[in-house]
Formats: sequence, structure tokens, C-alpha cells
Amino acid sequence: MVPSSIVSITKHDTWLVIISAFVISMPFILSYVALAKKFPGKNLVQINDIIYGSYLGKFVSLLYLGYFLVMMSLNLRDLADFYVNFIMPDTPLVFFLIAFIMVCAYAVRNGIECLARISFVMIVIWFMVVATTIVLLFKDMKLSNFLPVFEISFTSYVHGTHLFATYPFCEIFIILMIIPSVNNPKHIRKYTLLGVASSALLILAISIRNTAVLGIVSTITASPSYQVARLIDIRDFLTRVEVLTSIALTTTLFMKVSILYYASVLSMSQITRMRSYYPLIIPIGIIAVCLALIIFDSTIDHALHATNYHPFLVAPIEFILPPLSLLIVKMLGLPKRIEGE
Amino acid sequence: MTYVLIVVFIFIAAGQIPSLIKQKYWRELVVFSIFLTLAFTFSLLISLDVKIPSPLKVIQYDIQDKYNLKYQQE
Repeated sequence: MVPSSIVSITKHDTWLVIISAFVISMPFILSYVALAKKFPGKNLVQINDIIYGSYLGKFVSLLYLGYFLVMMSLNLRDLADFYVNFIMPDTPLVFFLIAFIMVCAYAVRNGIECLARISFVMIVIWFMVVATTIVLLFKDMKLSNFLPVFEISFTSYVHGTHLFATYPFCEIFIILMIIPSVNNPKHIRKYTLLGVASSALLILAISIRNTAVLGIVSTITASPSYQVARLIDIRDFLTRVEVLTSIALTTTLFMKVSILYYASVLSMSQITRMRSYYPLIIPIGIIAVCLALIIFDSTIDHALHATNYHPFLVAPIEFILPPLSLLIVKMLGLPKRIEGE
Repeated sequence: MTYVLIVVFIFIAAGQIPSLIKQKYWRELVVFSIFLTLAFTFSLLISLDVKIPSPLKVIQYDIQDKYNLKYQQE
């Protein structure tokens, strides 16, 4: 899923911005993986407790928890806004929020293994959808749409790169909550990098498709991917393929919200040292729905926040805290002392 | 609307609390009750049309606008 509001800033050079954001976020992703490798079998909250001590560690963990909760309600709101704007305009927002969170709650209740198993099916769906739309749109693509390369201003490049680095790529630090349940901890780095690289490739393909088909029009549509799929028309026989895009969007957001939901429930249960996270699932789901309802007044508000404020809001949590933790670990030589005890 | 909300929350509490008491999970019971009360207050305020300030808006106006921690589009 490409953040659509960014297209209004980077215009037809979005593909360049995606590549530079991928390169820039690489060291940060490596630092997350290195942090996970230093503490095998421990998740983010336990790592914070070891590094910062029990009180400051709790505070840092609460920061992360706030991030998970806010990101979860932002993504929930994203999905509900999409449905209200494009598919069912007369239905109230809260209906989609509650229906969606119930599915996610069921997935989280069944545990991380269930999520991991279903994610494979979802990945196949996303690749199929992107490949199908690209093949069906071959006749509409114009490579001249890319042409004045490097036309936008330098600040727009910086802005776009920052946004792409925070929004799809460095969000991967959520794997620090999931890594303890990985089967084969030796290959974490390889598979994380492989996952990020394939997702970057997918985003790149989507953005190139959107720009090649829509050109400058993609900067004024609310959802370029949906608009692109609407254009598919093979001899008046194969039309309305946009339903594929909405399926892909729903499944992506389901996966994302479920993982964020799992991370926030698990981190809260570990901050309060509970023995299981099941009792927290329903209350945190209700709080996330309420937060999603009040968080923005309108879709415009949401887009404005996502483009202008979001990169700075999440930068301390994604770019500063995990590398700082890694630095502290290196300076104090922490894991050795733990092993010695 | 408010009555529906109260009934729903009673159902949730009735579904969760007996099993927690049976297993003697006292700490879990306390945390669950705190969070459920929080969720109930939150949703009750929304159903009564009380204007709750959005936390992101508060951060936007009070911190990010003040110290210019944002991008401006031309």
C-alpha cells in the first residue's frame, strides 16, 4: 500500500524517492536486527527493562505502546475512510471500525502463529493483484509520463524520503516484538532484509504503474491505486477490476492492524507483568476504535497529518530510540553480564 | 445507544471475569478491570457526543507547530 498523499509532493518522481528511502532506512533496519540478535528470546519490553532499568524501561516501553496504539487506530481509520469514501458512502464510520477490529481481535486471540501462517496467503494475494493489474494495464502505460526527471525541488525529495522511510520501511521495527517467537533465530537478518526488499520492490512496482498510467493525474486522486484499477477495460468484458485493489488493501490493513494489535496487547501485558495477554484483547480493541473515531475530523485532516506532521512525530521512536538502545548495549557490554549471572 | 453500550460492556465483563477468578489470576483481573473501565468511559463519552480532544491534534498544535517540527508544502 503506497501512502497516496505523498504523491502530491513527489509527483512523477515517486519511484526515485522510494529507492532513496529504502537505502536510507537500511542502516536503521540493520540496527533493529542487531538489537534483536543481542538479546535472543527477548522482546522489546524485556530488552528495555534490561537496558534502561525497571523504571525508565517502563517509561520507554509506554512510549512504544503509545506508538503501537496510535498507529493501530490510524490504520483502522485508513481502512474505514477508504470504505466510506469509495464503496459505501452512507454507512457510518464506526460500523467498519467495529467489524474490522472484531476480525483482528479473533486473529490476535488465536496467536501469532496463526497470523504468520495467514500472512503467506496474503502475500500471494498481494503479488497476484499487483501483477494482474500491471499486465492488464500494459496498453495504457506511457513512459513519457516519467520524463522531466528531477523536476521537483530538493526539499520535496527530502520530505518524500523522510516520509517513505518512516511510513512503510522503518515501521518494520515492530518485528522486535515478534522475533522471540521466530522458529529459527539464526537467519533473522537474512529474512528481515529479504522481506523489506520484497516489500520495497512491490511498492516500487505499484508506484511505477500508477505514474505510468495516470501521469500527473495521480497527484489529485485520493487513492491512485484504486483509480488505476478503475481504468481497466478489456473490450467491455473485463471491467470493475478495482475490487481486486480493495481486496488487497483490506487484507494488507488486516495484517498490519493485527500485528500492531498483537504488539500493543503483548507489550501492555508485559509492562504490567501479566501471565497471559488474552484478557487485554477486548479492552484495547475498544480503546483503539474510540481513538480512531476521535483522532481526525475528516479525511483531509488525516492526509495533512500524514504528510506534514507524521514524519516528525514518529522519528524519535523509529530513528532515535532503537539505535540509542544499541549504542548503550555496545558501551555497557550488557548481554555478557546477563549471561554471566 | 447508551443502554446498548452498557449491555455490551456487561456481556464482555460477564464473559471474561468468571474465568479469571476461577484461575486465580488476580493481577490480570485488576488490569482487565482498569482497562475495561477506561474503554467504557471513553466510549460512553463518545456516545454522549462529548468533544474529546484528539491526542495527535494536541501534539500538533502544542509541540510541532510551536517548534516548527513539520513540513510546509509550497
